[in-house]
Amino acid sequence: MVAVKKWLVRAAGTLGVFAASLCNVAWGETIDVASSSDLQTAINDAAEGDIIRIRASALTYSVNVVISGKSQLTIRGEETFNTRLKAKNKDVPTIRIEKSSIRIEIQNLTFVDAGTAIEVSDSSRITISANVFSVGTSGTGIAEKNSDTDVFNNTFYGNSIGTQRTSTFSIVKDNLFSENSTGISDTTSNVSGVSYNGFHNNTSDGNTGLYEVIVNQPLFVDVATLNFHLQPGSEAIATDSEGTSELGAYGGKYADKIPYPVRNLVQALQSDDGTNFSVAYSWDPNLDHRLSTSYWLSYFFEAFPAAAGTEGPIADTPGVPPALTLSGTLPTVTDPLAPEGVTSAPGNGKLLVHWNAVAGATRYSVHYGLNSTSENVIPDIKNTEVEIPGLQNGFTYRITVRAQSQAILHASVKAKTTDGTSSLFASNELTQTLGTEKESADSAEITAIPEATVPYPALPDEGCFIATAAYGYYSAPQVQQLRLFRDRYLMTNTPGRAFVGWYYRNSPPLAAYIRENQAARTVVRLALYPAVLMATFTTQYPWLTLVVSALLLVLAASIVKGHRNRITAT
Amino acid sequence: MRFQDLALGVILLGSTTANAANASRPFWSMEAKIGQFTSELDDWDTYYGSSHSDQFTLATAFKFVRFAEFGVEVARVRDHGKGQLPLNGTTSGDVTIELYPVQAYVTLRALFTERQWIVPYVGGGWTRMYYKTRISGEGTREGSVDGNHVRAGLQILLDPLGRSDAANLRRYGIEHSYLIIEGQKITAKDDTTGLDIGGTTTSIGVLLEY
Repeated sequence: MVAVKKWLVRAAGTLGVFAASLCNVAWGETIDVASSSDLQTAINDAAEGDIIRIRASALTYSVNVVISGKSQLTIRGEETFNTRLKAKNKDVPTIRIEKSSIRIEIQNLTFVDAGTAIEVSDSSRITISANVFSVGTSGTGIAEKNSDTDVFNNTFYGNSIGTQRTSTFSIVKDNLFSENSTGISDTTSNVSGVSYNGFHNNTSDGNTGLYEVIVNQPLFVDVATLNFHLQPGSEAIATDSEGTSELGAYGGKYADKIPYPVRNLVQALQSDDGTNFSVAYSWDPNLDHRLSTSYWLSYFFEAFPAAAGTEGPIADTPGVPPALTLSGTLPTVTDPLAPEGVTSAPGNGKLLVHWNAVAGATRYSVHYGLNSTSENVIPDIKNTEVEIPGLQNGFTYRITVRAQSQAILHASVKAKTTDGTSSLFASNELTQTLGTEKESADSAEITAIPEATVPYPALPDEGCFIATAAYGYYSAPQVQQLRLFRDRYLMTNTPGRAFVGWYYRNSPPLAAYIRENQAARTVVRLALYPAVLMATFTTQYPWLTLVVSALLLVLAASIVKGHRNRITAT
Repeated sequence: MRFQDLALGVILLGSTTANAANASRPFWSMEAKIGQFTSELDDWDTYYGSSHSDQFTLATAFKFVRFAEFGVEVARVRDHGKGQLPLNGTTSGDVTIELYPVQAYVTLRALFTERQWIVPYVGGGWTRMYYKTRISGEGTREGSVDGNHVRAGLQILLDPLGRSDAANLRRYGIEHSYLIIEGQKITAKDDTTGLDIGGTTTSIGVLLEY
């Protein structure tokens, strides 16, 4: 009965697609999504046949999206390696497909950091292919519940469970399971839907189904960066159900053919005589066995836009790291003009200095001091603003700015396949400073005074937080006695001032608690009683205090001496 | 001192002793008012964008005779604005100011009958002005200043406007309800700076007698 129902659902889906095509409705629009917040909106707004393309990004999308009651929708990453999704809330699936959704396809995504990456419930004809699932050792890649779901050509690495299968209609084929606690968790007694999957070093492979492939050497390019492209010699190559393609996310018809970004670009300065230069670059070759790759190096001189270019192609030579030496004439660097429009904004112990950009300048330096601008310097400032910290409030500082100009060579490399597909992201960018640095004259000198913001009106901070909180108001006689003691005996010497400073920094949170708590106020009042008594005595009778203190010292000394004498006698 | 604590104290003071005054005429009243505080300080608008700041007030009073009452009141004035850099002569930073005038007062009411529609009143008393200023990223200043105030206003009897509602309120012990329109002049001078952080308030609210 269940089988008949499933068949009817499939038939209805197919008929729906056919009918829609006959009606000539808008079909197959591609909607680009480039932010986490836009994905759910795009899903909600998508019409039948639409494709939502998630743009590749250096950042990981953080989402929990729901596809509910949708029909004929594809969610596709622009590039599997560089389109990463994680669960915003790990208690909820990154993608949930539910409520009779039909013909949903999820392709070319890398799922990380999730409780469950994809959960499919009560839906049919769901296809999940060419994805990487590496959600963590307590997570599940795909959880299928009562839905026929085709899981083709995915790579499952380092999950608690690779994929769960509860429906005999679900097909799990041509996937690669590596380092999972369980590869395929299957509650059905059916094995025919599971076939041609590769297994490597899982704690338990689970239901291996038919024609399992034992992969001793998957030879992923770099597991640490989730680069699961296969290197030449991998035992997962040409072992899929067709016998031609590879197992995992980079095999099958939906696998992208985009070369991953070039890794480990390094440079070495060969020569620089101030006029001509030579810099050698090398990088790691693209190890994806499927792609015949060449490389293009792009370069430009900072602040000299005309001196830019591209060098290549550099073809792969097996066993030899690809390399290129860039040589040429340095751009002509002249003395930059002195910066203008120097202004400053005062802050508490700091100044924010700003100036106008100078044509041809590659960096700036700010010179400042109390008596001369040559006292201090902040060098190598890349933009037109800098904060000078650690200044003394209330003092007038003198400030100038200088511009520097030098040939700074920037370079990066992209890989390109023979059919012209280029990697979406360039390699790491390197810079090399060349030639002689030219420096401008000083800007016009400005003066500025750092100072703390004072509220309006500038009323005194009555400070004695804990006592004020305990006695309820600042005018309390006990608080005033303590204040008098502070002003007379603590603020007049260095250790006392240090103690007061420490107290004012640390007491407000405790005072806030005391203010809120009647019991605490009572306890603190009792505890403060001796201190108030001492403060009162000391401030009202200072000479008497001196005499009593001297007597106490003499008494203490005589006690210590008597104690020593007794020890000596025994 | 937290405004909520003071407000709660004012309400409790009124409500817990209300039953003790077991007599036919109302002895107690409670007020809630909203209004504007206009500082005595000349440059208030320079730093807080306007010469007026919002104020919320709660008060309770005991009418030892019908034409005179003793009351306590707590208000909260709060505003956001800029601070000052005196040496540089500019404004800067992000400052929040809070004023909490706590007042004890006596008022005399020109009340001659219980059904009098409009009751003018004047009064005055002692003020303690608590203040607190927070400078974003730089800390808090707080303290209090003693002062005094005078007040005057009109109480407009609401009972005739809704007789059935007034009768319902009487079942809960509320004898009269008034609309209040009030003005105050608060003086609260800080001895160390010489600054008067008081001001003029105009407010409107509701008074319930019970």
